[in-house]
Amino acid sequence: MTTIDGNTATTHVAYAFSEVAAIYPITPSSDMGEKADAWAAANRKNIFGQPVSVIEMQSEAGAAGACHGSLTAGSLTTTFTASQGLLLMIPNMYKIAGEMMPAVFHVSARSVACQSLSIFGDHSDVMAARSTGFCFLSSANVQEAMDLATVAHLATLEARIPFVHFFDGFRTSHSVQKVEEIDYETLASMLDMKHIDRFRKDSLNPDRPYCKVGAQNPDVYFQGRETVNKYYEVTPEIVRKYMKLLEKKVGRKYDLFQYIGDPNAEKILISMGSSCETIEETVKYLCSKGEKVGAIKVRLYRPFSVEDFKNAVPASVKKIAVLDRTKEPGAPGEPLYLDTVMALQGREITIIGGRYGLSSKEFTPSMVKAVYDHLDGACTHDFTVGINDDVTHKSLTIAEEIDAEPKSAKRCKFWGYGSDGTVSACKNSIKIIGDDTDLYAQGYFQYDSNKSGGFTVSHLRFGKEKIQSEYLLNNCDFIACHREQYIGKYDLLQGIVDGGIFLLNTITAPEEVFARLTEEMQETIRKKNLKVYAINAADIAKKAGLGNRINTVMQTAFFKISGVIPEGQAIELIKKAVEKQFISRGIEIVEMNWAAIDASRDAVQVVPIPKKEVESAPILAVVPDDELIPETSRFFAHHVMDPVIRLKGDFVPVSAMSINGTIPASTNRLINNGRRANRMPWLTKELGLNAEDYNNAYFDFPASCKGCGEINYISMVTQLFGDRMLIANATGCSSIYGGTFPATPYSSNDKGRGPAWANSLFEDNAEYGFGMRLSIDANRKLLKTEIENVLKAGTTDELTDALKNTQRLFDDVSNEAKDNVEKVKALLPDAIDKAKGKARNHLKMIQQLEDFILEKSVWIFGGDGWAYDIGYGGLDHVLASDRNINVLVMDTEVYSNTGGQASKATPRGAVAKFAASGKKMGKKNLGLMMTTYGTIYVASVNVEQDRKQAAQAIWEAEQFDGPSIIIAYSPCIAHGYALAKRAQQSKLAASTGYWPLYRYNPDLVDKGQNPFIWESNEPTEDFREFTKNEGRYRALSLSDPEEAERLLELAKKDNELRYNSLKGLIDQD
Amino acid sequence: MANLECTYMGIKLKNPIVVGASKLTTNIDTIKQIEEAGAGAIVCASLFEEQIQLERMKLQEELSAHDDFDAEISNLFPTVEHGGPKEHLMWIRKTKEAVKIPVIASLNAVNKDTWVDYSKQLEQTGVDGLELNFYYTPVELKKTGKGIELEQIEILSAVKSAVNIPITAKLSYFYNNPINVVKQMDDIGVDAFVLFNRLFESEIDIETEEHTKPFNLSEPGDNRILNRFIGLLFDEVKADLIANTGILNGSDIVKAILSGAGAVQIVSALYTNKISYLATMLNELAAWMERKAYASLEDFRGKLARKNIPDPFVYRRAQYVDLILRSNELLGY
Repeated sequence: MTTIDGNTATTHVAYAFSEVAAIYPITPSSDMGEKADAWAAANRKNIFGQPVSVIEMQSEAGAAGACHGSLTAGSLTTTFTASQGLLLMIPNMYKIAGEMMPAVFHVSARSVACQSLSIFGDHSDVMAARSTGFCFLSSANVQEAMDLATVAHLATLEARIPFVHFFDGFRTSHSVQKVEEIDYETLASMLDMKHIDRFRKDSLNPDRPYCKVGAQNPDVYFQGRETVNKYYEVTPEIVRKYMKLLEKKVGRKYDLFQYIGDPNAEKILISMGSSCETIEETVKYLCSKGEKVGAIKVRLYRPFSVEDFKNAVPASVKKIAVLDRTKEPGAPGEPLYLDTVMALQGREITIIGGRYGLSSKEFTPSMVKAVYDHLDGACTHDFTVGINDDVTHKSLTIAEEIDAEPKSAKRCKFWGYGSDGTVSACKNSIKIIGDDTDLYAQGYFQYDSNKSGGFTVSHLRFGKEKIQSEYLLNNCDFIACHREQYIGKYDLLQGIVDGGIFLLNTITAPEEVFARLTEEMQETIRKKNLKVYAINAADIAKKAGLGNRINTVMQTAFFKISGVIPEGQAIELIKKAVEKQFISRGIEIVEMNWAAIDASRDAVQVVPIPKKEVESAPILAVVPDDELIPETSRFFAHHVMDPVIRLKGDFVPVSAMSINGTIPASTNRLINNGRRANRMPWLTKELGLNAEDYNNAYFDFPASCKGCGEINYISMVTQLFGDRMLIANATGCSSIYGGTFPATPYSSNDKGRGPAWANSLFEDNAEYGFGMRLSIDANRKLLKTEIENVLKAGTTDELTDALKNTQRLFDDVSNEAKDNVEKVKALLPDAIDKAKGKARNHLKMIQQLEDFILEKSVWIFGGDGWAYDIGYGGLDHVLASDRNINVLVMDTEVYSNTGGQASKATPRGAVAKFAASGKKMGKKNLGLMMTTYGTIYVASVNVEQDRKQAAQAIWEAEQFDGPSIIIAYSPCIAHGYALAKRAQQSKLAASTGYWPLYRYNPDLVDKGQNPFIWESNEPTEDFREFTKNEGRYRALSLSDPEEAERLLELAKKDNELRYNSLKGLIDQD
Repeated sequence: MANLECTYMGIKLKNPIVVGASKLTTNIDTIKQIEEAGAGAIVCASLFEEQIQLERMKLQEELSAHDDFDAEISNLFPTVEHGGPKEHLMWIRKTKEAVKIPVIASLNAVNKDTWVDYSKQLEQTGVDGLELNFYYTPVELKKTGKGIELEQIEILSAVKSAVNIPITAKLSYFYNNPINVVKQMDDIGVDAFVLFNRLFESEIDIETEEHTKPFNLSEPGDNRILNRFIGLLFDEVKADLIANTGILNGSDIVKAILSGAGAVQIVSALYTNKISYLATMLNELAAWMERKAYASLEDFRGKLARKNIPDPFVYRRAQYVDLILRSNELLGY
């Protein structure tokens, strides 16, 4: 048995059966590609004795194309993806299926971006791909992910039809569970080589050439499409055959549709994915209480075997509720429901469908019970469960909270914060208990979506019985709070059982701890007779020489008091684990940790519960007093922000949500007690502008990583143009800190104007921003015509003057122009009243377009992953236009948001995921490439090195009446150094000749000047002075110094080439 | 000019000044300057196992600093294994290629297996010899002197049988009987002894009431103790004896050779002065030899060793007795 997560379990199998993997990072599937890449780098062999060739592409569309090509040329190929990534693969999926190619795409199913992006799990991505001709096989937990991945890889070869093997994003992909691993020998033993022989023989090869036709016409296309039917017809049987083979080999039984529950049940549920586990747990519970209920777990969703499905439904069934983890607006029901209705036509069964669990929304036994109750009650179709829909009233009421978990289960919850070691300690505890005892173990981890060090909640279960509870802990035997500051902000004791244990990491003396808890906590402790313990973990860690690393201390304390396993055994196991983990770092480190373990055992202290009432801690306000909240935002602040921030967002009703994903501006201000960010006073000085005209900051306290190098650029751009700008923001860090519900740092000035910000997707951002420009241009063109029409027809004298001014100031954005806009707006109603006929219509049209009187500034923000890779095609296209758009590329030289994968901006020699042995190729010179058009304003900036130059570039880019791009050096935590030293490192980027500064302004050509302004000094320091400070380079020097040296020398040449290529522009006229 | 040639762990040197493992020998440019200044050989800065362990820990901590940061960032870097001594080995290889004088690698490990493993890897770099730096400061109350000696002898035997290049043992004088330890090690076949290692001593700042780390340079007179032990060991062991600590000028070299040293190691002299001071020391040595009409070092090596002096009491308590008897005359009380 081993304790791993769903991504690891899946990759274990995918790696075994694959020769090529073409991937692109996307949460929550990235880990699979990364693991495969890491294993290949470590020379791990697949079952054919070779490491898998893992390649990171520029997008999922590219990955799918590479998969298609690899399959065509005869290699067993896989990929890993989710959400928009799967959607980008759809065109190639139709091709791969259409060409009858065996392949498996592993999908950690995730919501697709609709009204908003969500990284969490549901089936909307796989459902969007269900018509591609792929087979769809669904796993409900980590063990199934390993087992059914195996079935998928085996079945595809025989069936000749590609498979999507999917499981729930995060709930299964990231859940750590104790499973049985299938060794590679067993996997190989199940493979019938004759199917691979056929696959290779079918491949495209000049030794036996054929032609894959490019086009068929109306005469034959249809017939061609129907040739595949017989293959789809036999596929379910092939899948079953391999399920049986698997059962023979490993003893675990699966079927296409698996019935669970009372064999004579009258009401059943039908579902797919991790929900099946929760349903099964609940069914067992309800059956034990005498209820006759059942359920069908759907495993093979496509091809949908109607016969098998019918056979799985007991004859006794009278009512069925089908649960879909997706939403298809406008449809008569969601896909699984419709399939069920079709399959069971003719049988006298009432079938209803409902939605649950979108974006990892909790799905609990109480909700399962509510669905059964609904079958008994109103039994209406198109219901939802898990939310409060107070608008269309489709949601079910949870009448009864039940605890369906086995009595032996120990449920432990840990409150920590990002990267504090809590999550890794919890994972470690699961591993210790999972690997070294006969207990089952499960861990699931919740995180804040902000990047500024938010909360983590680790949900751990241990027990003698198999754990099927695929939901967060609702009932806890043990709760630990590793961060005292959460008292009064979060409901820390939520779900604790009678007699449960609460452990607090605190510097407060045990006898004073109780008075530091909120009244509500005190009441819970008294009412539920909780045992409360305190430990000063920081003190112990410090004394043991572990610095701020409190995880070993807290882990020991947990083992000591939780009673999951006997204390003596626990301590022995932790010590063993510590030794294993740290021995390569020397016995002293091991001994330090051992000392911390021993000290922690003694330092856990009982918190006395006073008999009398004592002081208590206040509930902390998370939004400010009403006078600091704009009236229009008050409802949102109190009824949405407040609960969401306190992690009670599950209770926000449908009516409180906007219909289109929008949120009010200036909301970040509210979680910062109404404060506004300070403007940059130097900005106007550097540009020689009147400070009065730019006296607002429009970017308040973004929840970015501390020291993030992107923030300055956004602050600068918004301070200069914020009151008339639109921003299209590519998905990535800047869209997360720019617009994660329920708050945005983009804010308004006193007049209510400010940046209007929106995020579409990752790949389309240049086009998205470009579209905004097209729209503005179109509206302003119409406006211009209408002004001419009105002036021709005549209107009030005042408005005539104002409109003439509008014509004169049409492209002006000065204060005079802004004042004139207000004047026109004010005069329009009266003029409309007085006008008649066509003139009135023209005036009304001007009124409709009045917000377009002032020219807008369109900005396109994104990172290097977007600009250099996935969005490059679109970026190139819109920059080649003659429209006035401004692009800001915040170049962190790596995919920061998804966890450090290499992009084409990653410099040579730096270590990143998919470049574990150092990036072999140099960084793309995006700026130089864009200068070749000769019509684009291009600048390379580094604000910490030369803020004036950066400011000038931003100003000029906006002034330039055409496309502009600014490539901004942006230090990031992924560079591997403390960002407090960001300024020094930015200066070194300049002095070592790494990051050149320049502006290329096509306007200068008209003035008879060279458009290229070179603003870098000659390098004065060796490039090593830059690289030696950054972990991304140092990692390679320490792991493979020869390679690091080789790449460093080449990187120096890259720098020279970059310099020389750019400086070459000076000589061009 | 006098012939300054000598042998150091079986390697022929053009003169007896070997620049010891230190900051000075961490950088190829400085090492080249040392060669230009006329050094007979250099010992590269030590490869410390503890440093590697520490670096390994630091690397892992750096790379995992943002692990479990948020839902999307379970980590920021791929798994990168510290290459152990690889970086050091590469640098040693480069140093060897960069200079013509003999290059000796230096090693200080903790575990016996590592001593052997790293020795073999250092040998592969092409160095001329290997110095095993037994820099060890016991802190365990229960550890016996005998135990420590045995451990070191075991390590030496293991390394000696694992590598083919000559090896030096660099020792401190903190043994009950250093010459016995040297003798036992000599029996294993150690090619030279560097006597003695300078151990780091922290200072105490009485204002801040903290330990401080002063720059630990040798001072005049520090060489007396090693001259004594070299004098005792001369001709008693097969290995070359190298004087280390307190060799600050040409006269100190003379004294060491008179005691029986085959060569000397210097570091502090070059820190206090400049690298070019090495030539001055050589000139002083040559000038003395010319003044004394010695043609080669062999002409006076060990002249004042116990074996070669008529008054054997010099190396006994006689000096101490003499001091007590004549204290009034010598010290004024």
